[in-house]
Amino acid sequence: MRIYNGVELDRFADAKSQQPIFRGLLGLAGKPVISMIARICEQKRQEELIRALPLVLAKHPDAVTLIVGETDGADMAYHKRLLALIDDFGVRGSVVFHGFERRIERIHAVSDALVLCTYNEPFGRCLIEAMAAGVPVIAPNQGGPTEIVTSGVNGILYTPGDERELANCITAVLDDPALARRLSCGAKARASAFSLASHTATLMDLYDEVLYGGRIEGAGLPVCRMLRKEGTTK
Amino acid sequence: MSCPIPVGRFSGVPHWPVLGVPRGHVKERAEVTICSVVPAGVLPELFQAAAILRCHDLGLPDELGNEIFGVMAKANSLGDPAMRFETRNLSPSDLKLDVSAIPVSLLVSDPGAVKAAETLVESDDELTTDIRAAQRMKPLLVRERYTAARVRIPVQANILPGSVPVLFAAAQVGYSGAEESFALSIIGLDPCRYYPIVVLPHRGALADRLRAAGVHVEIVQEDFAKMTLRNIRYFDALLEASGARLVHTNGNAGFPLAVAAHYRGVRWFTIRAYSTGRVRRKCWRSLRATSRFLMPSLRTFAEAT
Repeated sequence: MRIYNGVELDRFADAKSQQPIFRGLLGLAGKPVISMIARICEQKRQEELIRALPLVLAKHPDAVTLIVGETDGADMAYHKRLLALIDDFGVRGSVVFHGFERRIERIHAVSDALVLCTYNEPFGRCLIEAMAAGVPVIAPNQGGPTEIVTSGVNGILYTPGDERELANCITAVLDDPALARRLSCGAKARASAFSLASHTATLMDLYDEVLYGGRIEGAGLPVCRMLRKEGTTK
Repeated sequence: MSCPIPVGRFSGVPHWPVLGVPRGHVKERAEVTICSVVPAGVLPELFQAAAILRCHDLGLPDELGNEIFGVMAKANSLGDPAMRFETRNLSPSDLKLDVSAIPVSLLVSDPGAVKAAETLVESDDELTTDIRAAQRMKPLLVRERYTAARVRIPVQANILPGSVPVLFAAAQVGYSGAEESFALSIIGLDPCRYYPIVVLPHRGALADRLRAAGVHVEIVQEDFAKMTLRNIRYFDALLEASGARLVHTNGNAGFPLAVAAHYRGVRWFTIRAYSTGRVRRKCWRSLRATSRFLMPSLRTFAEAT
């Protein structure tokens, strides 16, 4: 039995219709926008995206990368490393550190592609949210994203650590509007499987089973049921 | 002789991000004392300050050190009355409170605070504070460490008839994807079937989100994820007070709560990282053994003290 996280799909469904407004507000009108939404820390591997940027910018010199997320004090050193890396690769003019954004649908509204680079991501909530907004997603072929994304159908999976492949995936989405549209449609359809209503209904059914249904199958333990973080165990 | 701790006071403008307390929170107005070198956890009560923050807590790099005072001076030179900093050095006379007068529970709630307060007192030979008071306090400290935090819980008036109380606990109070998922799971529960009671160590964005949705949130004001006797006893009392029949934890909050839940026969769920897989049987054996043998001893200890 698996219980995936629920997402408020309605919140993201119309995000794209707001695109001109938010692009105008952020000064991004007419520019391809790549976004990454994750706390800035080593685990999230923002550096992988930065390493891929020179290849992307070679084809799309006006592309802007939005790095959205806060930096914990403990991760300040990593943040500095990213800034140094940005300077080393000469991409300072095309990377924006947006900071924490509560109304994340605004980011999806302006994004042409969302990239996630985390290794062993437990689930990848930002993927579902972006997919619900119809944003093509690019994620590592590892961990939670492999359960969400079917590469080429509703997103693209790349080999973790391979910046060249990541850059190719990004440029493919930016170069080919037909591919982007196809991925966007597939993403919306896939995201509908992660509604909050179905998540809580399944969770409550599980509670019912635990409280009233006797011993639980699988784990062989009378009082525990493991839910995998943002997914579940078998 | 001055205690070598330069401090700055800042009376904040609206929306100054007084992060750290708690992180991600934005206060309308705040007065904080900023120290560059004070060890973590120094009690604001020592100096009767509203809060003591380090550069780190303000999202500034630690190596900024005393340069923060240069930044403050620069800000003052801009002449904006809404952003005035006051800088000075702390002296022994700034110690407003005798250490022995600090409520023991305050010290015990944060072992770092105990250490920091003791370090502070011992850092200056000419400090007039009587260190013997702190020594006299030690037996009290020891006893307090085994005494569970006060359980404030429920008046269960809001629970609908037939609804089952479920105790949720999360050790993290920041707000990221995992917390959003946790919060939505709780908010989405049908109140006719399940009544969520959420226990969090501190205030923060997660607590705000849940309270805004009308969820019952209890703030313990201490780190309850550590496997200490005090925490186990706290959760034992909490389970009794709340009448919870299910426990659902997010990540590391689990173990002391699991021990207490197991002892009471309350069923327990946890959300664990994808990569860690299932809890090993060995771990469960130790949990069961702990709850079976430790809890009665704890109760006896509680009655004796």
